[in-house]
Amino acid sequence: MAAIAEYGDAAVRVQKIAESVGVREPSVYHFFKNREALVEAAHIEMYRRSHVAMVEPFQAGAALADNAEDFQRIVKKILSLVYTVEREHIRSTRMSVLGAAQSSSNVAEAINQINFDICGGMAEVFVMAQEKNWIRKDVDPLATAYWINGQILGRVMAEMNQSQVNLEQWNTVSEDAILHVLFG
Amino acid sequence: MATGEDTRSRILDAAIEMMDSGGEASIRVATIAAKLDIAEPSIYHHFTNRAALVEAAYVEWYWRCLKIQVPMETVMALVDTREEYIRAIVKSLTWSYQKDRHAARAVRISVLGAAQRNPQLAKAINDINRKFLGSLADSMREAQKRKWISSDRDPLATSYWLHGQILGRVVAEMDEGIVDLEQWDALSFEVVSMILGN
Repeated sequence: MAAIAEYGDAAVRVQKIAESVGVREPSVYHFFKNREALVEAAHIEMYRRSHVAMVEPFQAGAALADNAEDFQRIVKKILSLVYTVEREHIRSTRMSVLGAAQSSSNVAEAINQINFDICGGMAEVFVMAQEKNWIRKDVDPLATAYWINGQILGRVMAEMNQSQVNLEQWNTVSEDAILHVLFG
Repeated sequence: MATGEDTRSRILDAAIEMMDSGGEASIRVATIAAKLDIAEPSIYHHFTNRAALVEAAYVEWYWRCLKIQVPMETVMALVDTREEYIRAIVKSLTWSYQKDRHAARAVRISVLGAAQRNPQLAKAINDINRKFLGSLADSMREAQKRKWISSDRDPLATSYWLHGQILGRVVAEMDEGIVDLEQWDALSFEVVSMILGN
């Protein structure tokens, strides 16, 4: 993953990975059939980690919230962390993996599981917030989590075309939309 | 006798079909030639190399899947009030969210995914998005002029956002039976109406 993050897929060299991990090359092939399988597994793992890195702070923040105002502040804070330049690269990888999943049932299965774990985790927070009357009760928690995740992914299209699309303005629309879904 | 343009589009059809069933890696120039009963060099007459063919097939595929029911220009000519305008947008979402449009969304995700690793393809896709979403943005600008929707929304950014959230439905729909899509759609309709109407 370190090689992909820095130099892209083409930089993945099984021999180098073996060296840096301190194992022999055949051991790498013991875990991954071939180089392609290794790259695919790395992409899926990047997909998983990129989500965990945002959902864990969200869950922690929600656990620390005392009231609706606190919770709303946490949501805004997380969004501001999500919509950063550093995370554009991560979203791009995510789109790439999701694209690959459309023609590979193996990848799709792995991605579905990750999405379910992540969105399920978010949904649990929403259920808690609904019980405490912090957010709207008439929205389906899991559908809301998937919807939020989906529209975050949609930012890639705007990010790809930054010379034309004003990302600040995009963020405003997105934040308004998400706050409306949660808080009405 | 097939014209050059005709052959080109048949080659693209065949490539798209292969991509649809087995991904980009499954595209074989020799197989396409055999299938269309043409010589391999004729394919290279239309596409410099395999990479160029793959790229053109992606662009064509993406473009086909963006087709919409009613062009925004027509919508604008048909609506007279704010309510009608917002209803028309929501109606087009309803059409987009039909089950048989899932494939079209999945294709767009595939192509966007490939574009993340291919700057040339990204440029072509950006041009298509800009053109397609530009017409939606134009309609929003017109609606702002008529005071139907809030003037503090950036039309192009809002169009990209709107389209992005449509694509995001793939994440929910690819895992069949897990997410209540009716609830997902209800959320989407409500939010889009709010963004435009507020």
